[in-house]
Amino acid sequence: MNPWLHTVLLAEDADLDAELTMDALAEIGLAQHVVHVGDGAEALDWLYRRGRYSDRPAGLPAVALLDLKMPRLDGLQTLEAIRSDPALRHLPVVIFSSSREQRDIERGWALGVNAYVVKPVDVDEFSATIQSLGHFWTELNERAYDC
Amino acid sequence: MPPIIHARDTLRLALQLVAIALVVGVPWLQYMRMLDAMTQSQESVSHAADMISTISTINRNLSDIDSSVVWLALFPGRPGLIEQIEPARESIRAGIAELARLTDDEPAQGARAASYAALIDARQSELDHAVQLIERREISVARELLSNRETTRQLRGISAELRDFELQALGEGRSEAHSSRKHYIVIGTAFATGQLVLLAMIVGLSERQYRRRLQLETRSAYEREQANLILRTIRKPIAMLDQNLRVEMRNPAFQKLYASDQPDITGAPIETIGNGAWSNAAVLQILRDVIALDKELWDYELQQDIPGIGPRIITLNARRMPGSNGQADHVIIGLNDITVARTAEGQIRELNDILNQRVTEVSEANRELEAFSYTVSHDLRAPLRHIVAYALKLERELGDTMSSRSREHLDVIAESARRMDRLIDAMLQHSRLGRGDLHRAAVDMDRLVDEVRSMIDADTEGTPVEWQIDRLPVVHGDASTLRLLWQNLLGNAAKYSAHSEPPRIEVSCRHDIERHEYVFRVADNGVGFEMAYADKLFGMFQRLHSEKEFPGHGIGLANVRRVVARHGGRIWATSTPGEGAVFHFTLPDRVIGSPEGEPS
Repeated sequence: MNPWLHTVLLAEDADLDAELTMDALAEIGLAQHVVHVGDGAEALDWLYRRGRYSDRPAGLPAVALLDLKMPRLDGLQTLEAIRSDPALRHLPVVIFSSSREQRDIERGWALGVNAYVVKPVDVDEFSATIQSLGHFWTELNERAYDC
Repeated sequence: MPPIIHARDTLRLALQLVAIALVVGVPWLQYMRMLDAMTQSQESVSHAADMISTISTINRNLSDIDSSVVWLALFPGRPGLIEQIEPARESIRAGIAELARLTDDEPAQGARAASYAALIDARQSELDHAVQLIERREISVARELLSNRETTRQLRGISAELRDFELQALGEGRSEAHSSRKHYIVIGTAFATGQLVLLAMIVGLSERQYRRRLQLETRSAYEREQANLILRTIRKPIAMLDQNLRVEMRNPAFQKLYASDQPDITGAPIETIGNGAWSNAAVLQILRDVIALDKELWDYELQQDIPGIGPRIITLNARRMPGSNGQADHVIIGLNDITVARTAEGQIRELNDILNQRVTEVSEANRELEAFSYTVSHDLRAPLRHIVAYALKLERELGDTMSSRSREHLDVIAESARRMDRLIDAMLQHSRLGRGDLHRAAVDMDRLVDEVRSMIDADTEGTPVEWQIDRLPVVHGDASTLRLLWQNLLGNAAKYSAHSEPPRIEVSCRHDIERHEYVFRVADNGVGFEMAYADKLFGMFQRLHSEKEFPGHGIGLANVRRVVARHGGRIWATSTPGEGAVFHFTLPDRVIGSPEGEPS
């Protein structure tokens, strides 16, 4: 049994955004299922159980929410790393971005992102978006297989 | 020489020889034959004359002897008579011998001559006998003997026979000569006629050749004149040099380039011309090589310091010209002063470098701008989002304990952040309009305007707009940015005329054929603007009316101007406050280059 089956892996360098995201997920009861890492490199460490995550129980989360702009490894680079590894390839990935830059969106789709979401400025809108994503990936779209 | 000409020449030579043979050889042969015949007939005439004269000499001598003897018989002992006999007898002997010689090729005549000689001998014997009788004083016997003229009569007869035969032979010879003369006249006339014909032909031929030569000379003189004229007319310097590189001929341009204020340089060695412009040994050697090795020189570049002109870059073309009639070869040189072109090239290169530098700078600026807008896009929004979110959180946390005034303040904070977010969006859109590629294709302005009009009509809350839209052309442009243009222009028109009753918007277009452009016109009956501020109209975030009165970001017309500019057009506006505004913009009427448009 995969203990991370309903877990959301959140990679976000901005603490305030992370807090808002977690607030939104808490509202739908997913707060305790969120793993927050500071950037893409740390997200990969977690996924590969490296470094400080080497002794975490095995298993992949339900979905990875990656901020686009992060230090070290940004969202698109992280997505690229995930998609190029057969063991991680099927992990659902959502990219969050503050902007509607066309080339970022196009590159995201080209790398095989499952959803590209522009963060709304309005907090209610933001919560609603996060919540629907959380719902979709952790409950409605539960995977038929387990890695 | 091609073999066909060779064969024709041989034939001509043969015909000429035949003609000479006919004109000269045959008449000569004929002449020789005639001469032969004449000699023969002359010979026969002289033969006859010889015969006759010999016979008559013999007869006369015999008659002399006869008469001497007769005188002696009449006057015996008369001195001088007997002495006459012996020389006559001698002469007769010679005559008989002559006669024998003359007749030795004619047997019949020879026989007659022999009989004649015998009779002569007989008569002489009779006379000798008579002389003996006289000496013996038997005068009467001698007289009797002398009076017997039988032998003399026979002699006369045979003499006549001999002479007649000769005369007859002579007559035959004459008539033969006569007939052969006729023959010769006929042949001679024929040949003379032939000669005349041949002569006429020769004269005709030589006349023709003469004319042809004259024609050729005229033509060659004309061609020479033509070449000369062309040479003089050509403004590029051209000269012909002999094998010692002396100027044999030059055109005025050559003279002008190297010695404009000096006497004619024809005949001067090239290295003395132009104050050392041609003193370069390598160049001179190349020119010699052109003559000696039949090289060709194409656009050989020279740097020459020409007196009165200065340093020039010149390209030299040279070609050998074979000398005619065994004369030495020449070299023709043509020059081209490319200094200006070369300088212009240099300037173009320089300008290109500057342009490339500018392009690099602009690209650099664009990259920076892009990076800037990327940053704006990402990093400016996060704080805004946080302001809104935490204002709301604060509001929720404080709940009812918060005064209504504090709540208002928090609302202002949140609303300002939202407004700033919209401004950032508008700014980014404007920036994208300047950067993105234009996807040009045929765009039907009729349909585009109709689409936008429907949208505006759907959004209009007050009195519906009265539209008057003329037929609009199909243009070559980017449909999405042109849609944005109409949205802004017609949206503005609707917005600023919303208070008119009824709002009225006119859209029309005319084709300016001379300037190759369409001029679009959008007029409304709205509030208009003061022309003094017209220059602010298309600026970014520039507003001529308060946002409260007419909401908006003040970026719509800036976008419109950018779209028009990127399509290669212009935009301007006129207005009278309170009576409405008229916007004009132009678009090229045909496909133009540079699909990327100009830098923003």
